[in-house]
Amino acid sequence: MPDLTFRDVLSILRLIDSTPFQDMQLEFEGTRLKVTRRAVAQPAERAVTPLVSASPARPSPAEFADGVEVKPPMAGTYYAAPSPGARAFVEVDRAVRKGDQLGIVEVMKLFTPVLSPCDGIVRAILVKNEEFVESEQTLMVIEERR
Amino acid sequence: MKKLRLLDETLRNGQQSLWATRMRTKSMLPIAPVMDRAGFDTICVMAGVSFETTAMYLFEDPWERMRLLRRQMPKTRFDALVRARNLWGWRGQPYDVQTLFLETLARNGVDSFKVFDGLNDLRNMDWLISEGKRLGFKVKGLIGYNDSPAHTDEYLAAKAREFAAHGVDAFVMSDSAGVMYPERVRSALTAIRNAIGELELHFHSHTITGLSNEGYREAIRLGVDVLWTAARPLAYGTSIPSTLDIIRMAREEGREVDVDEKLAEEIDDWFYWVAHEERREIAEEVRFDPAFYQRYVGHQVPGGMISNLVKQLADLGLEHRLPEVLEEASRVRAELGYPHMSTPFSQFVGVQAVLNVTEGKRYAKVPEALRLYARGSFGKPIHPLDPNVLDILVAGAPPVDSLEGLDEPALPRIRAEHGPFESDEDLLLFLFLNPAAYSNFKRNKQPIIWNPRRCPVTALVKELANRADLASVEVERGPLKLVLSGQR
Repeated sequence: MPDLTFRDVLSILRLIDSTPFQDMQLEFEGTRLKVTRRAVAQPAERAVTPLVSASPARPSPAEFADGVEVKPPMAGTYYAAPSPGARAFVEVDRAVRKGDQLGIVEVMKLFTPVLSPCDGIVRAILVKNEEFVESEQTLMVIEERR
Repeated sequence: MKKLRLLDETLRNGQQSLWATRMRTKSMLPIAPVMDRAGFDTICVMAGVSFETTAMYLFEDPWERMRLLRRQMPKTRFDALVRARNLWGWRGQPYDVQTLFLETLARNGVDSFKVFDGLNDLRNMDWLISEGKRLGFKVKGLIGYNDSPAHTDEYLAAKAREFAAHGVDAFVMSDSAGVMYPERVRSALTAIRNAIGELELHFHSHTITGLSNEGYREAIRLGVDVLWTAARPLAYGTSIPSTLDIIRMAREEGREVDVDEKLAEEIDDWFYWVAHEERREIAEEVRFDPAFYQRYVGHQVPGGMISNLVKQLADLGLEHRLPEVLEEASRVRAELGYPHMSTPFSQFVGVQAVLNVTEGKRYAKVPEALRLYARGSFGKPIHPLDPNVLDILVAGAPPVDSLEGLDEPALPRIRAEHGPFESDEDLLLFLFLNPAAYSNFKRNKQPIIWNPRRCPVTALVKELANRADLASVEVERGPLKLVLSGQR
């Protein structure tokens, strides 16, 4: 008896799945197969209504009119911490110096630091970890201290 | 002429090119004994990315996979692909980590590896080559080809000679971008052969543009020692040619091949089934299209990377600018000195092309890693960078040596800060994965459960029993008769 191969099995399955007939009988090389389809088609699955989640309002940079706005070095995914689960680079009300790292922007595994443009206090953080940011978007506002 | 030998890439390159490196171990093990008997010169089982995906997405222990494969394949040489001083990923690894990695590979059944560097800078590979030799590995040096004014036959021959002088056991000419016309395969391999004499020579090519099979034919005629192939369900498309097709081609060309055709058919048959079970399409054999070739050869951005670019542009609502980005990628690739279009360099080129187009000003924004590349931190570029671009990227910063700090032992610090580890295997997995992925893996690790029997009739019955639209199924085969009906 010649061997039934996996490719034969795949052809049989394709045949059964595509046939418009109720019954099918197949005999070949020592194998006999008979398949009977159910009389009524299965009811379609009920459609699921997606849940809509309301997003909380977030502060806008305009509320911190006097501050220095921090923009990302490029559009990409923003990371607040050096690695998942690690502490964020900065929090609101923290003092920073010019050149301190405030976050990371990632594009296709290329990680570029977001650096503080001035000395001062972080007054607002306007992005969430792992959020996609555009290059003109304001990430943070820093109240400059000279 | 000498017999042609084949290196099987089904479990590594094939699934990396076509299945996002997500094949399950239980899909590999049942066919492994057949692969072991088939007569392959070598079977490639791992690359850096396989460690990551196996643990991160399948929650399987990649080292356990390696040991199980070895148990099922005691005879055939195993190899792994190693990305120079990085081993895997983006960062250079200190020498003590490089050595530990090789020792651990050896302990888990790998007895050979191929080493490559995207800049073909031998300094980035020195340590691995000499440690590999010391530990008894068969070491192969690999050069990745791209079509460019820098990748002349003289350049390729000189690199092959350099590898030979470093004591490798074989040289691999890799047309990973799939852009070599048969004439070019002929001239390049002839130049390389003249440079390396009798040293074992490998060739492989990705079938992206449909040129590969004729390239393989040239390689067969030129007496190349080893060609890389994959089982048909994991061949073609952006992968490499199929084993059976190359066996038949070699016969046509009058060269004997050691791989058993019957067993190669059995291997193909199994992976067709695996493709069905893992819901994967079978890739088509690409037909050469001169118009596509012309559009592609400028940038040579790998297919997987193009989908990333599309996503990046889509995030900005700029998908329609993809053609412009790809054209810009051709310019950036040249300005950056034609680095090999694979990780991380293909990302450098692609990301910078997107930035140049979307910012409206070239090199106005530059990722940090690209600046480091320009400063030498990844090694010596293949071709000098465009002087103006170099100035912008370096911006007066001092040069960085690609080997800086690698001689500083890192293992004592890693063990003290993150240990204790169960084993060296465990420590290396920690290094392969980011800390969150590592702890996620440790929590969710799945045992590798597999069925050694491959039985098509059982597979057929199981499939039919799962079809809700069938009222009854009867199967008769030899002494076996099975009737299923009255499904609940």
